[in-house]
Amino acid sequence: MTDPPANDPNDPASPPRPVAMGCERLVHLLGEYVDNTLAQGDRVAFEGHMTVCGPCVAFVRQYAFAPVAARAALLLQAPPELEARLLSFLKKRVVRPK
Amino acid sequence: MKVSRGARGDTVATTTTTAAPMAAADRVVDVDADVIARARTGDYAAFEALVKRHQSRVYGLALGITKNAAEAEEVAQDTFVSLFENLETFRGDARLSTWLFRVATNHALMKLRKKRPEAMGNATDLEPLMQGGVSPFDALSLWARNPDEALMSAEVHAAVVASLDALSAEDRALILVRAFDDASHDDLAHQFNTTVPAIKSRLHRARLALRQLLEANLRGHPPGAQAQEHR
Repeated sequence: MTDPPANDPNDPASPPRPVAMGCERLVHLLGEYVDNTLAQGDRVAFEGHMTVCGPCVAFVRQYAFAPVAARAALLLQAPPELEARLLSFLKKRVVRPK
Repeated sequence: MKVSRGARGDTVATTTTTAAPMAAADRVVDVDADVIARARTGDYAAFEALVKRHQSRVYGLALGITKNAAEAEEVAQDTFVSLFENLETFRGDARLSTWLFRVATNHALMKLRKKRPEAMGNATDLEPLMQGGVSPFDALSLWARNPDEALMSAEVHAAVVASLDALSAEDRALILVRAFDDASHDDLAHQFNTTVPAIKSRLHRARLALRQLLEANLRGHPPGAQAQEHR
């Protein structure tokens, strides 16, 4: 993962070109990309970088995957009898017998 | 206190509390809207349907924050009692799930602060985690290529829980509220009493830390002393 060379501002012959996104910038914008709040221009550059940088693709997947995996792991830990216990507790706690 | 008649003839007692505001930003479509409407009329079966629909996620969120099964169940109980007590004031400005996760998070963090303040941890410090920059994760390529398969792995689940536990309680809460409810940045900023830019930055740092800790755990090299720094 390397950042692309910047345009040479001292070379008048250097043609203007779009500023490519580097790995460091990609990591900086990762949250907004995953949350789908990234501006269109940044999104195009972000996805352009991912087409040429395998490690960043892996990084993005892992970053997005970790919270999803955490949710899945925690849901599996809910005991099967939880629902019945909870309903029983609530009935005693919030419902007054006639 | 108000007493009303439930659908099955039960007498239902409700109290007004200040547990949490029921309103949020914009009115949203809520899949629970019809059931909420019935529950508000005193239909206790409708209230139970809401409990059944959301209990496992509320418990999961609470477990992720408290790291304790008994406390997580208490949080779930407290959360649904709050729901019952606030049904009449629920205006549907936010999804019910968003409201429930907000209340559950508050109950869980309050419980930790009161009972086990040491378990709150410190704000996650990314610097030790990011030293050495971005690595190629060759050992985790399967995880990266096949996340669905990895989600089914008990090894991954154990590593994820261990990684989550190494974060501060508030960072865990932030990541989990977002993961469980897809809460908006506005909602998160409101819930965590900060600004949208600040919550975006904090969420990003917490996710980076979780990813890095997960990588270390999956490589079989749990951060150890490093993780202790995050508690």
